[in-house]
Amino acid sequence: MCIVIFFLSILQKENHSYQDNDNNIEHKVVLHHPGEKMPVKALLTQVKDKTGFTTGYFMDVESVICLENVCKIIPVRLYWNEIGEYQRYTLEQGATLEKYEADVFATEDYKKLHTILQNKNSPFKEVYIEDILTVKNEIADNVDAISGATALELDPEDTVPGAALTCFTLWHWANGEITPIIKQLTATTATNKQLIVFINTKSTTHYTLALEQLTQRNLYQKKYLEAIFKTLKSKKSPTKPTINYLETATEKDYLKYIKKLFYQGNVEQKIAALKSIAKTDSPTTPLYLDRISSYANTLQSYQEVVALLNMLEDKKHFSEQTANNLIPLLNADFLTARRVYWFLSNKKLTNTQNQKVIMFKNLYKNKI
Amino acid sequence: MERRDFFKKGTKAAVAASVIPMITTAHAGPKDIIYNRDTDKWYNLGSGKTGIPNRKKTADYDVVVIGGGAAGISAAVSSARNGSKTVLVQDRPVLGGNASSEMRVHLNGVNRLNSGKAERETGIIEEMLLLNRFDNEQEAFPVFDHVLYEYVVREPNLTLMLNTQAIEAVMSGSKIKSALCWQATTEMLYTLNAPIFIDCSGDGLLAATAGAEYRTGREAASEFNESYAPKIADGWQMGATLLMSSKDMGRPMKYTAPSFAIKYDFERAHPKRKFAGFQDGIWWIELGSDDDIIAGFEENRHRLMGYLHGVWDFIKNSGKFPEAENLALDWVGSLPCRRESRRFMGDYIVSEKDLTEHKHYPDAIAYGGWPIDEHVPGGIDSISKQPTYFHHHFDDIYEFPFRSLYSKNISNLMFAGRNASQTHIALSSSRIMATCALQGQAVGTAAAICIKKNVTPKEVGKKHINELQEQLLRDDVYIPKRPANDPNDLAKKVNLIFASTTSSGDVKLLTNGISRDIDGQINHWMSKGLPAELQLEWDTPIMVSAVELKCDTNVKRNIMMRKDSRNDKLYANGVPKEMVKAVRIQGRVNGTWKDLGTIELNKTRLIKFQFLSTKVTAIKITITETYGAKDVKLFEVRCYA
Repeated sequence: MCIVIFFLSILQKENHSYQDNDNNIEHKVVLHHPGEKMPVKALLTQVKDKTGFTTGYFMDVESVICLENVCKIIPVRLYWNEIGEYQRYTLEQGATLEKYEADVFATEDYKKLHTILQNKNSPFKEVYIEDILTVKNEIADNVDAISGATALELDPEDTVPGAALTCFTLWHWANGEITPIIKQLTATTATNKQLIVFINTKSTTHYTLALEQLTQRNLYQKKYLEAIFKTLKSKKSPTKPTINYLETATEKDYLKYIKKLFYQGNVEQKIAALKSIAKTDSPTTPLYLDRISSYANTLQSYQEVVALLNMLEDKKHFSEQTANNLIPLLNADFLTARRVYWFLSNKKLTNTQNQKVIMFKNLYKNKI
Repeated sequence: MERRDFFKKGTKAAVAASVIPMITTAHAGPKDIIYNRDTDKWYNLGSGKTGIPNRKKTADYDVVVIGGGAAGISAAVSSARNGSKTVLVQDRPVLGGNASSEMRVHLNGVNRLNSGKAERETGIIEEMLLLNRFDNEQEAFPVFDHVLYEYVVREPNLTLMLNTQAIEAVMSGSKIKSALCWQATTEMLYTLNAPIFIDCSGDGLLAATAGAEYRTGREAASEFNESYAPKIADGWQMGATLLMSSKDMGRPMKYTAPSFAIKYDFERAHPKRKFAGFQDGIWWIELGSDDDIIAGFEENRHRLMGYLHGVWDFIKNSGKFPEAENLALDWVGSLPCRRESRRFMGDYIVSEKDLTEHKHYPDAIAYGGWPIDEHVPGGIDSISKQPTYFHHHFDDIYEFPFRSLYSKNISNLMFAGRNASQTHIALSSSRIMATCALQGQAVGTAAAICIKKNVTPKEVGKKHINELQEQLLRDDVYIPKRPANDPNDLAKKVNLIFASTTSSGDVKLLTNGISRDIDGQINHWMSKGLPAELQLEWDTPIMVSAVELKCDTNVKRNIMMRKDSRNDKLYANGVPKEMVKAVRIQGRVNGTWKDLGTIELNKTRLIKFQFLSTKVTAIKITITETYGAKDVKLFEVRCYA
């Protein structure tokens, strides 16, 4: 019973009419399929709900690449969610998929095809169509002197036996170039408000798409930045798009928010923020860098301290205040203390500061 | 040719030498040898002289390796790299053995386990195959010959002798004193003296003339409790194959079989004698022997040439292969590719159950995983039988012990490859070239230990096996269930190791002694993007002069050269995109980073930096580029004083 329900859910034999609502947008797309020599033109339909949110996409493709014009081609409708992840497929009423020698798909084969299309890392990702078309030699892979067998040998779990070409064809339609196209369509057609929803409530993919869009649209208002920093506290956000976004803000906003990222971010984000400051052309005042260094004693790991000191060295910044901020770290774990010692040892220090550095040197003269 | 013919004082020398300590040897010299060309009537018009040409030479080495196939090259290179003055003696004009352009067998290894993936051999065999990826992208077998030639001749401590056959061992008791070698191209008789000899020649003529115990044929099932062996022992040895290749000429090509062709009997042929990939040769054109396969080689060679043309005649002219209409033979083998002849006896004989039950050895030094693939007795003469029996396919790799790689009765003789100490059934799996190469690296490395410590191979097995295994592991051999634990590796004593980014694995795994992901365990660190940095920190300064890395080359994908240039999830014909291309090493000296080495175009999995001994508190490794992967994956970091 369970199998029957599942089967029906992935293989809805329908007239596709329910998707034809007013909110749908059709996009002409050109796709490269590894089994086709020439690019293929197709019509991708973007499905939106009543509020204007993209809820998914669908596209009609051919079930199999037919090189000899002897195989039966069945139209297949593929469905994706709004970030280009394959969801399901449907066939027209009464249509069936075929295997080699006119054998038809059994119920289990339809189910397995769905599983194969769901697997982003299916073996079909890496094989060539020539391997599939070569006649299978059952002992080809197992002889030390063989010279030319090219038969594709797939685990039966990874393919529908007798329909490898159909699996290959549909897998690349479902998981190929269409995915980044869908992501871009969803992102570029989203309203500014929807981008905030992406940041707040969705996956890291949504977060990344939203920040790329904010960057492209040059949106740095408080509401966006607040949404980003609110997310920082609630879940692990990808660091790279955050840094990329902040680095394209105005100098003032960049310096303000990269510092905030350093204060509030996790270890990875703190280190990334310090590396960003180290290479930025935005003018960093001594006061700004002193403030950054004042957080030295809150850092939890050696790597963060190294990133901080590397940044100060890159910026050629040193001040009495910075020294004061760093001196307490001479009492931190030895590796951290030694790194701080090296930073301070060639600087012009006050007498009090100098005494502490000399004390450290004398204490650990065999280890530095 | 009788051995005594070559010596004036053979008996005396043997008696005298028998009381000399094991390694030290009384070397034979040119004066000992009767090979005088005093009847030679050479009148040299250039010099105007008449005289006896010099056709005798003597040379002393630490290690003599016989056989220039995958096993012999691996043995010679590892011996030389580990400090022994080594000579590699090869009887053919090219290196590569069965994988040379003379024979053209794919250099297979653990190509595919039941998991569907390869578990590729690393170490020297990996270096050779990677070099081939760089220098022979076109996958031409004659170019592969030269890739191997380059690989061997660039080793500073290694001498290569081509066209040279070791024909006789000169003995001193149970010890080989010298190898008499005949170099066909120069008419030169060489006497090669050495304390250690390694026979990787397959047929093992040197070892046989030394009196090393060996067997041929199939063991009875009862002897080793083998389920795939015959009930009663017999003399059958698997056949040698003669290969060919053809070319699409773009127009119909005629073919007329030569007079010596043997008609292919298709009606009687077993259906498993398949023709898939026939354009690149057919492996079941093979003939073996149930008696003296070596003595019968030339007869078999002639008949194989006949069979080859008979099969091709069938393909071209039977009408069953319309796809062959435009094909013409563009290469035909004249030298059959040998699978089996002598198997020399060591202190241990590997047998079927050791493989199928995954026996664990304290002296494991190599592994295999090719199926137990026993070719049919009779070869193509048994036309109505299937050409091979795949008795067993492996889920995991099996171990191979060092005790099967030295002679039980000749004290300074080791062997590697198809002539190792094993049963016929075990050979049906372990004969594969990359497996033989791992054995070769083991005996080459062991030879260097013999020389350094003045001990026999047997003593290495008993007293220095840990040192042998550690050196192999350091040199990038993988030994199952045997993590490296080198007390000299300073990276193991590091106080902190960290990476700039991590996308999978853990940087701490780089010192766990396991340099591949295996047995369901991750043993790597992978960056998130490039460039990526690793930093090792010691709280007390250390002296360091070498840093060694093991990078990813995707050992789950095959990189051997194939005629069909397969390029899919299991076979790749390019440089692995995962491999490190550019890397820099820095050391922190008195608080300041100092450059210790840079590699811009790395071509190996094991990446070695050597520099003047430097006192550092930290090492920084910066990887700036791979051959295509966006992240870099490493498996090991080592540092040495």
